[in-house]
Amino acid sequence: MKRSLTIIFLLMFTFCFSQNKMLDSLENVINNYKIQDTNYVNLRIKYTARKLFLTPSDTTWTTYVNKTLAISKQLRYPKGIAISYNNLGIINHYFLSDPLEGLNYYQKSYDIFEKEQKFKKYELGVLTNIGLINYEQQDYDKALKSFKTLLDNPENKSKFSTEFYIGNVYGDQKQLDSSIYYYKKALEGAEQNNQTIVIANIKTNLSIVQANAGFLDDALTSTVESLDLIEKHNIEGLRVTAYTNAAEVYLQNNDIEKAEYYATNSLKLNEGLNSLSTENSALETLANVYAQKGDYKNALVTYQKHIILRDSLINADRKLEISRKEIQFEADKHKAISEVEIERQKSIKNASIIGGSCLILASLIGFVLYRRKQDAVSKSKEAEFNAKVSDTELKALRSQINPHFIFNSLNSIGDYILKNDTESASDYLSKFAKLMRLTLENSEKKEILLCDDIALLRTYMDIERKRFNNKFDYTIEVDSELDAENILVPPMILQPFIENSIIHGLSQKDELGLVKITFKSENNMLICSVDDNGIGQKNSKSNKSNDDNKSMGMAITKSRIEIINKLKNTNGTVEIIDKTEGTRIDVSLPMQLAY
Amino acid sequence: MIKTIIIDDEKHCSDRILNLIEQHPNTFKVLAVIDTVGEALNSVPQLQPDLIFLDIKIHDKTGFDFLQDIGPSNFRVIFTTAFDNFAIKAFKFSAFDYLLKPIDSDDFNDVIVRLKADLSHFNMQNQLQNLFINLKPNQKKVITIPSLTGFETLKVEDIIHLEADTNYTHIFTKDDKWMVSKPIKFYEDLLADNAFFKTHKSHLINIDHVKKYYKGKQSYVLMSNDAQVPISVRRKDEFLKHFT
Repeated sequence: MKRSLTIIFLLMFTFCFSQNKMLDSLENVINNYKIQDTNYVNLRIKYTARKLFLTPSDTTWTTYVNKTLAISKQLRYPKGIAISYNNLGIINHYFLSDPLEGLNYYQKSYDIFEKEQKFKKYELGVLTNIGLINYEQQDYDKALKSFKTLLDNPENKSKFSTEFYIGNVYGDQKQLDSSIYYYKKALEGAEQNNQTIVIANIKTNLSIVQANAGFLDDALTSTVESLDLIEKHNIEGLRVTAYTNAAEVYLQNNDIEKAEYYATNSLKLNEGLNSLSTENSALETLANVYAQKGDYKNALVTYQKHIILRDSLINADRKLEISRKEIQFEADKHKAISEVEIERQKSIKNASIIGGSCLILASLIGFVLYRRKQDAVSKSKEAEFNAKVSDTELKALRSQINPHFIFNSLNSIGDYILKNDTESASDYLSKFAKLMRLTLENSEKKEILLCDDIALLRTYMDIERKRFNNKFDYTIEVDSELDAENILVPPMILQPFIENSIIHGLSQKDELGLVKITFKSENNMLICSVDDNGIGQKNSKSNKSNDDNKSMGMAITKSRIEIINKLKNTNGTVEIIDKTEGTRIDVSLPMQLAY
Repeated sequence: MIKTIIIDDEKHCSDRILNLIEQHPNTFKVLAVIDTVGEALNSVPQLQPDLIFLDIKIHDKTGFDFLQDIGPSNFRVIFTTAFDNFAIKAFKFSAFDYLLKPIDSDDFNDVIVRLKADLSHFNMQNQLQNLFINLKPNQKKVITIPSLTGFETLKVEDIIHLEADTNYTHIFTKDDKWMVSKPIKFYEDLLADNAFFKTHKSHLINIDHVKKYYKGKQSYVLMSNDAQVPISVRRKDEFLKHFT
């Protein structure tokens, strides 16, 4: 069982002496004040400070202080806000017995005062209150922290009371040496300031600590001195505690008579005050006194009373413990919540950073891709345009083939008519018409199937053969691996070369000529060859009469292949090979499949 | 002997036909050469020809006027014309024979060979009906396809797709399937202007009957009759142009 140490609240008493007259005039000033400024707040605070402890049971205080707080907040007046918080803390702490809520308000108040040097003096009261709550809640470490901060505060004019509190804390913690040290320091300060009540209070508390520490003589001295002060100045508030402590000290000094006297008187005085913890201590001491005296009957009775009281006190202690636990729990909860909040803020921050970076990255990538796409689009547009230009050129060239071919054929018909009978001329004409139809149809197209082109060439060569009285034969060979129905070629690309072979190579030859036309594939190119056994290029060149015709058809064909190369990005070529007998033309074209 | 009448308003044209006929002795018996539609309408019912070479432009009338006015008949017609793409297309759709002027002897011979082979079964009325449909500019076209019993008429829009089978072609409609002894190329040329697209060497589809397109390495289309038709790699881009 712990021996409680007694504190008398000095500050409280000073307020109690305020004059009622002054309070009434202050109330009048407040009621007549029209503007809600900082001065108004100060007046309200002053009024609260003066009257709060006079009417602790007045339940409107909370409302009153809250209004002061609201006005202060509106004015952004830190002093007003902080003092209002402190007052709310006092109300909750002392009047509403809600130390948790009180501590909460004190803390808010302290947070504001702490920030500015000029508030140091206000810090004193708040920090004292915080320390006392922690002390009451037996949270000694926190209590010590608050009190020691107070000791460092230059505005602290009553360091002795702070030292006294510290002594109490150490006393309850059973750190008796420290306790005695601080009590003695407090005693010095109190004596300098002539604070008799405090001195008496310190001495009685000191006596019990000294007794517990085994300094029985010192304890006796302290007890006697405190009792003297109490008797001399009639300090009633301390008497019961002092008597109880004195009883214990005398008992330990084996002065049974005095022990019994003070214990009995303490119990008697306590009947009016009903301080259970003191009564309990007194009972315990008295029980021990009776035991020492050998009065076992009274010892038993007193001890039984003590036990009953102790049990109820243990229950009270338990309540305190529970309340302490509650505070701890609330604090932990707040801590956990704030930790979660911090974590959440952190993760939000992280998420925002990551999200932001991702967004920036994505937009960068998007921009790059967009640019690339734009480039591709403009490139493909350019390519499309180029293709269109080339296409037009190609069309122009193809359209040149038609008249060229037509007039060559008409020339042939003329030849034919001159040399043969009209019946054959008519037959020839109808074949020419058929050829013209096919040519017109196909030359409109960019590409036709190889089989269609072969059919066209066949028709053409049949006519020419007829015209030259079967002076030559022709063969058309398609390599077996080629599918003539699936290969696309530019229409009539070989026609000028065949015409060349017939007119310049074979027609001037005496024996039967042969034109071999072959199609084969080589390195993914289609090789179209026209091979004749005629008189050859050189001989034909010496025969100047038809040179212009020849070169025109060839030139057009070459241009067509060049444009195809440009369009399809290929390397089609025309190669003219002079053989010992006759000429061979190899036209290589990109292999193009229809399906 | 094929009892033959020539209807043509230009003498050198009819002379050319006569000249070509002379080269086939014991095949034709020319009953008359007529140069107006009116006279033709008078003479033909009496003469009961097997075959008429019919010009398209006969003075201010046409060979089609003659056919319309003469009513149900039993002769066979070979149109002769110079250059009329539209009419030629109609002939092809309706499976009529035609010769282009100036007439080439080889073409003439080909037609005669065909004529001798199946002079027996044909349905002039059916063919004529199709011809008149196909001659109208904005009419939905019909094609005439030879069958075992004569001719079948198919609306072009009902044809879903065609598939080559060497020298034969399978034609698929919603409920039926035909096999025709013509290469797919014939139909490709015939139907080129009518929303038909060759997706593959041996597949011709009606674009309007495409239900779904499956892209991929081997892309294909699902037709309205749930047939899957492959699209060759080279035709893909061209094919997709029809849907953009």
